Amino acid sequence: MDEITAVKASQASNRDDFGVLIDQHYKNIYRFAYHCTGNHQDADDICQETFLRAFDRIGQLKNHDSFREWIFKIASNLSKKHIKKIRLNKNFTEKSGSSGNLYENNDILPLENLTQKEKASFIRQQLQEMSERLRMVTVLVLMEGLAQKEASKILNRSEPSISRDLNEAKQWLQSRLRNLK
Amino acid sequence: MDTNKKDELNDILKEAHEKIQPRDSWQALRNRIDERINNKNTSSGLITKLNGNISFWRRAALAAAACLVITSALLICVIFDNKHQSNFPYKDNLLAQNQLENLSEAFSHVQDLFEQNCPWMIISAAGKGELGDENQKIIAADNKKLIVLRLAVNIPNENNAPQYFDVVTFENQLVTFDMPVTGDTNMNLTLKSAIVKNNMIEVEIYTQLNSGVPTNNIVTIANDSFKTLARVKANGSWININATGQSLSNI
Repeated sequence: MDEITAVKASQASNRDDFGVLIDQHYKNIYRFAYHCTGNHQDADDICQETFLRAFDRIGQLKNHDSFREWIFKIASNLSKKHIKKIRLNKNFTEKSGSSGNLYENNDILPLENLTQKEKASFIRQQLQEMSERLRMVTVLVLMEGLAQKEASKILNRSEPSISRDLNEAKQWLQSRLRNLK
Repeated sequence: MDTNKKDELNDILKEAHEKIQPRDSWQALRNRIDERINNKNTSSGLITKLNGNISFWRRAALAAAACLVITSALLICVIFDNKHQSNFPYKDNLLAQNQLENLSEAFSHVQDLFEQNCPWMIISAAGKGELGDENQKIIAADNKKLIVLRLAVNIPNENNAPQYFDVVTFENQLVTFDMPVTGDTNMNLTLKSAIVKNNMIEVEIYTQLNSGVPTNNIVTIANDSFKTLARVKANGSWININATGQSLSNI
């Protein structure tokens, strides 16, 4: 069943067909949420909450061919809220001694002689040090393969600003990864 | 970055992305999503920190807790509506002593049932309510002290009358909710209240319009008059958020 048919069927209150949409996107939403939060438990919660909200509001989706954009927008909004909440808590409870890195594993590995798997781990760590604005653009466009236009709609920003951020993100990564062979 | 380097970077980025998976398994996550959807009547929008192993009785307790909160929300709604219609003087206490006691009792039960989660609620003068909870492990809210805030939000071009909201929250608890402003504009508000000297309430407020830049402010408010918490510019007009508030006795 294609996505548009599954969206229409879900809007007709067919729960099984909504399952098709979950199957198609839940891994991507989880990965996106993980990059945003740097934490498996939070990514898990956001992923569940994203699909729960989508299920509740699927009737409001007018463009049947934009489910992916829509579900990422929900995940993006939930992730932003979560990040803001974490920052607020840090303001109140961790006035000092925090690096601001939410990532679970803070060990920085030497780049030389890293395996591909280790490089991947290093990349994930480096992404957590990126600003939230650049990180979301990087994950959506470079990792998820979404078009800049889609990313601009998901993040409620103009295409030129997405393009600027993408260039900035690439330069940032270039500076961090210049030791990679 | 030359082409080879760029390709390698793209490959590594994609690989880093694809290596991410839940701690247990994809299938376990898939099952948890199904479970959330199947049980949405008891957990939708209310619980964000429950894991997949939650028992039936815990769910039942949470449903009971939600009922209690709703009951107290309705209580406030009725009180608020009566006072609002009679143009009650804002120098009066927000709620009478017996109403405060009822609220404290309801939240005490709710807090017991929620265990480590602290519930909060917001109710508008229009009768709309929203419930939420925070995980105490994360926020270290003081689950013994309740605070009632009354917000008056002046949104231009909407018959110029302020919109009123009552927020019931534990001290140091984060309360986050969305408020439609004009057209497609949505304002996200986060409040954190604390009791300071002379039983005054200090409120930290974060506001964010759509996905714009968030702004924050810390204001000590009075319990007998409204004070400006924040001014936000939306579509060329200013939105004023004013507040008054009082603390409840320990629960």
